[in-house]
Amino acid sequence: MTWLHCARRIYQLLLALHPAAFRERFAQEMLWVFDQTVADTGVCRALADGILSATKQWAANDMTPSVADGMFGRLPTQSVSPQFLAQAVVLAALVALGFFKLLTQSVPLPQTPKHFEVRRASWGLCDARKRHPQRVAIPCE
Amino acid sequence: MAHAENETVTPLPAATLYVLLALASEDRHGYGIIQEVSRLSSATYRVGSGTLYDNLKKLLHLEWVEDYEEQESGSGETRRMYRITDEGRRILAADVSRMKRIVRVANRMLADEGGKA
Repeated sequence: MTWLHCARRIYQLLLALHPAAFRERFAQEMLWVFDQTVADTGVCRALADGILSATKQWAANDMTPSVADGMFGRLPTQSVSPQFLAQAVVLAALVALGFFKLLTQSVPLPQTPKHFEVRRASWGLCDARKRHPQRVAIPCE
Repeated sequence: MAHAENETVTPLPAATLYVLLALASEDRHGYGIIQEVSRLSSATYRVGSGTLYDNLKKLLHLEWVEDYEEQESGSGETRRMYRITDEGRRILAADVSRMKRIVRVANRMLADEGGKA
């Protein structure tokens, strides 16, 4: 099998990846045009063009409920009731709270440094020594 | 009125513009369009098969282009041919007018720049 035959096979695979409606209408023609032009344009460029085309076609594909039904199963089409909305809000709040609690438990909060407490105590002693120098024997810096 | 319509035309993408231009002179099949685009752009712009049919699908949907089947005289094979519609021709003319206006302004600006220098 030559390189061009291999490229043709890959291009056929790319055509098969296009949405059905597009494929049924244009795939035969596209393959014919590919055969005619691949020698001029180059295999890599032609294949890249095919990938881009498939991507564009899926991106532009009409995602109406009827199309989406076939892909993902039935989608809700009726409007959302206020009760359903309230339940959803409460559930979302609970999940957010649980997540926050989990975060605060797993990540330790910063502790107040001990030397700060010591310094505060020493300041207290200094004040006491100034007021009652005969009673407080601890030297003050 | 025609001028007002031209003002509101959205610039056409290069591929769409070239496909419409290729069909402006005569009806063509897909490969014929690619050859004509290459000729019109002096081989500086090449449309791939995927890009061509993406555009043709869009143009058919917009009814700027229509298609029909024709049997080739030599091989006897049936080919789908594409033809520009009146609406497609009007849109193409509007876009060309838009570009002409831009070129006119650009030429004037460049001439002013030349005069200042």
